[in-house]
Amino acid sequence: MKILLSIFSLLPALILFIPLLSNNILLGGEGLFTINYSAFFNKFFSFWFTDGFGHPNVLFNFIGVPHIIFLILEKLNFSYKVINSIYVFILFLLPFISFFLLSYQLTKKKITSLVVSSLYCFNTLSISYLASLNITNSSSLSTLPLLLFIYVKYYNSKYLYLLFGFFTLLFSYSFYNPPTFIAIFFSIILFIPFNFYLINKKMIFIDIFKDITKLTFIIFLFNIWWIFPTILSLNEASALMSSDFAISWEASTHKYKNQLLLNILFLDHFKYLSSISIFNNFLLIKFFYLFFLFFLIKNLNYKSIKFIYLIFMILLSIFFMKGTMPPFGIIYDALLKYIPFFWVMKSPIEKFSIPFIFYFSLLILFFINERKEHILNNKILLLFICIFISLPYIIFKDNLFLNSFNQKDITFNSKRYLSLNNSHISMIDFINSREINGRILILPQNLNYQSMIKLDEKNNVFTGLSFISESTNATFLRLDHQIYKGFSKNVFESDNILDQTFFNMFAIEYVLVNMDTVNWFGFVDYINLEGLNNFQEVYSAGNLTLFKVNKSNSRISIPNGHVINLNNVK
Amino acid sequence: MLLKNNFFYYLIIFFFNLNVSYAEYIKNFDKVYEIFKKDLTDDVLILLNSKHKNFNEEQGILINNQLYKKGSDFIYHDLKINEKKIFNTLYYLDVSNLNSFDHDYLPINFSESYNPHWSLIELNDNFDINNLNLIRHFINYFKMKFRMNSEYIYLPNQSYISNNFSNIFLINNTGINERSFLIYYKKGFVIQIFWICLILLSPLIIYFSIYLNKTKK
Repeated sequence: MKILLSIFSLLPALILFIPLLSNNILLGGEGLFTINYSAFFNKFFSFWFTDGFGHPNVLFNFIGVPHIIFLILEKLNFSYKVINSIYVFILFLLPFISFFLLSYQLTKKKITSLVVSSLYCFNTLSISYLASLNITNSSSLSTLPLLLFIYVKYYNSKYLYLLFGFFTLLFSYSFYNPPTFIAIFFSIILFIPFNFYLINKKMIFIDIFKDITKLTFIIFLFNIWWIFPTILSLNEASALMSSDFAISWEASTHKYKNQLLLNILFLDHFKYLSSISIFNNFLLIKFFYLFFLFFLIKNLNYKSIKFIYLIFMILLSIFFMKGTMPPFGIIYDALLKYIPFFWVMKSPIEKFSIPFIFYFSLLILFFINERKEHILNNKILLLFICIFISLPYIIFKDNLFLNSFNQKDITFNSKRYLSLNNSHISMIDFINSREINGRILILPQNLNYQSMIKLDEKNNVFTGLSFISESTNATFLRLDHQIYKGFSKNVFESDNILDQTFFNMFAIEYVLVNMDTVNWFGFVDYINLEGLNNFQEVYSAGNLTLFKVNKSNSRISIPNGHVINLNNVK
Repeated sequence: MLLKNNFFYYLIIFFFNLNVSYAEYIKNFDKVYEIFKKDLTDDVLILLNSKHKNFNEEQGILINNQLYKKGSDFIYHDLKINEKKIFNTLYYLDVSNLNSFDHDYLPINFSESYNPHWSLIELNDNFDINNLNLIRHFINYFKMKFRMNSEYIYLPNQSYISNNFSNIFLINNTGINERSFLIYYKKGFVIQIFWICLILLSPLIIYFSIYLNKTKK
């Protein structure tokens, strides 16, 4: 039985790796958009990002240890496949390992820890969160249990705060997103009273307060290298978003309100890929899970402070996850409107799901760890959890991250495991081989920063931030850069966009026409540049063509036309 | 005690003042664009006048409280510009044939989002750009800032928003035929100084983090 449980718990991890054994790589979403880490560092390892029109770096922990490892491996000529596999390990397996370390430290039971770790990492909610493939944001799922493992293991050591601080430094990249950092920070702080109770079997509030103060101080001390510059950039960062926008964004997440509580019960309240949406739609899976939940609710020791605290934490997380939705939404609404900077928590359902799944997993861990086996063997209960978690992985296999879209009666299949098109690689290599000082305008212009790029004749597509533009050293201009800058859209439509004045203003040296782009969120226009005098074709690969703008300014110029009354400057 | 308080006060003010930065939003871009598109076919410069009182407001065009200035002087020149990106925060350019440029001011347009922290530095004649790296730049910039013997020359200049988007530096035309410059995002220097201070203080941070739990074994 132990072997069966171990295999079942590790099965999702194994299935996540299997597609990489063939010609596929993991790529897509908002997080994994580069196949060239030198280009990535060229753009983002700086106080100034050259992306689009260029903007100051306001979050200094954007690049972390994993990115540095990837760059070193790339410089050492390791293939992208190796780098990609390490990416998969850090993204998907580290949360599993971290939670296992914490739960084993707390219970000293291997199999229980293994199964609950599988639940923590591979449940519908977590895998949906990880499916964005964002190693900075999503690594918070591994950072939380790992930091708490350090805290629990070295609680009585004089090196506790040094080690804790060092690990926060090591994982500072996972604090890149401020609201995620806030959610993680409070999850850590709220674990301290719980840990204190586990050790001392009582709550001494003065001592708990001291521990919280020390830990808070250490987190800020070891992370001041990015917190301080970020605070100094607050006005810049807040210029990126208004509180009105945040409030309307929060309201847009209410699409989940139908049956939200029921969804939370099945851990599938946060899902956006069509495959993951139907993860729990199998009766067999539902049956085992419902049985387990029924057993949990019926047999939980409601008199134990430990369980009361964990239930309180879960309810608190649900309260915040629901945001401005009824019945208590008015409180969250007031927080958004009147608490300074609280508007950063504009996606509560996503951010507060991390403490929710963490404390929910802890509840199950302690429930199984402490229950007396007079009715049902614990291993049977663990098997039920395993079935609930692992069966969808067996069913979906390499279609785990599948999303289907219909455009004009054509179905496009977006997968995270994909095989790249040679013409795309060859265009990336060509652009990187040239020294381009100006910008490259990408056409057709999408109405979103994400694009859908056709990879083959079977209509398999890449969806996410374009890996073509993001894998080159050159600076690309997309429509969302212009929208961000507050330009009116009509300036960039058809004939306007080809105006020489516009090209010179923004130092557009090249235009890349990518006819593999699929109209996903909508286009501004398709423009055919062939035959136009001002554009000279310099390279073509498959459906991609690169044009040089004949009379373009470079990034630095001395105006040749019209300068405003210079004499007035005196 | 007072001295100590003042020291930290000035330290915070120092870093704050040097760091406050912003991404300039572009308002009424399309309106201004349309106006200039009608008049000019080549390069267009629009100087945002809202923050600089040197311009005469009466001669400007006022659009929703954003003042844009349009003049009528044409400058003809035959300058040769050589540019090179060194880092995202550091660009090199040299300009030759400046003898042909018979104006008091030399306008250098840098097509990157306007930010007040972009600055222009002039280079010594014998400066070898091929040997420029991050450390050499930092040392030279540090020396220039603290008026030590640097390969960089402080260059008085005025910077504005041009094209309603990019940075324009106006410098004195000294009549020298060839000049070379660096365009530098100077906020990076302040943060580098801050990080160096942190690294120097790291033994203290380590000691303090052990001291916090010293009662434990």
